[in-house]
Amino acid sequence: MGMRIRKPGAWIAGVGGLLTVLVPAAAHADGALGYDSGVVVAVVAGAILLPSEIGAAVPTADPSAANLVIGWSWQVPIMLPLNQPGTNHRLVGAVDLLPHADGVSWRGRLGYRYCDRYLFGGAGVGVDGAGLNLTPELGVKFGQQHTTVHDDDGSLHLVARAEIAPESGHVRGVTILLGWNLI
Amino acid sequence: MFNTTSRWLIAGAGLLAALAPSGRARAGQDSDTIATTVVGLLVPSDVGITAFGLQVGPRPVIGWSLQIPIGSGRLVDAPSHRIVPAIELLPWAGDTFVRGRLGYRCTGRDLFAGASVGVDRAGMTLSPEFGVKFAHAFNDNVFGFDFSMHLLARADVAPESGHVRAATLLLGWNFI
Repeated sequence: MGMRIRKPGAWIAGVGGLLTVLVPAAAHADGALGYDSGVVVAVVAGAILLPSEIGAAVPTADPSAANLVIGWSWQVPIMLPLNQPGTNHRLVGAVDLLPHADGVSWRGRLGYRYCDRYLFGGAGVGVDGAGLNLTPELGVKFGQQHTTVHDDDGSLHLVARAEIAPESGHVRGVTILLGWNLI
Repeated sequence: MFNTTSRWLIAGAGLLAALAPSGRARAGQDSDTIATTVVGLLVPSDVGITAFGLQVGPRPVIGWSLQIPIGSGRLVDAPSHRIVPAIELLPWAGDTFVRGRLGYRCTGRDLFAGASVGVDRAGMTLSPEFGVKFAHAFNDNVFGFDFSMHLLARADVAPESGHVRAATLLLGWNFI
């Protein structure tokens, strides 16, 4: 079901290093939010490096082969800075780890998300061991940190995603994830 | 329905989730607090590397850990003494496994230290730990919560020989 990589440690280090390079830019963008810059850098670095989602991936061909999913997910508003109109449109990147008793599988995803205070939806292109797939998603946000609307509103989310084989149009699998997000 | 590794992780996460409301609901008693606690327990809180020696390269670690304050009936008192259970997944091609630990931790605002007993497929270990907390969300504890991040170093010592079997470095976040 997933893409096998023999050196997951090297991949994690590589991805983590690449993303860490991006942290200062993100922190600079968040400076207008009023938080101490050191805290912003640490939180953004943590948000990038730490898993933010957990759930299950269920292949439609064999639901009994459902697998645990641990996910890293990042949202980048198309419009910056935050707290300005237009940040509902976001680019979304994600890496999922699927642990098995005999090893691990990885998969990746890049997509677009439109995000409201309580709902979000989007679509992306995913890649795993079976090839490319199209992945529409729909989710709900809850447990908002603020009572008023802020784009920097930490909250929780539940998202359902389908993986569709582009050549046949068949739904190859469904993934349900529970997680947290900073924006 | 799930494979063996997934079953263990889901069972552990489920157990932690079941324990969540009793510990945290005292602080807020609202649905958001409970939801945040449950998600906070289910989603991994630590990520890092562990090294088993020079012959084996470092391996990634994904961890779930919980801190249970002791010595006070109220979280608002922010007791420094805590029981720390944890589950860790070490994903590796062809060799994924899970290990667990139960320990004690004394924590201040910026530093913490403790020791635990761990168990993995090689047997039991004694594991002293030392860590720093940073990026505090609040200047002071708010109802006992100190949402912050931490960097933790830990050694796994074989009790029979006294040799360090593994060293682990973890980055993570904590509620208290």
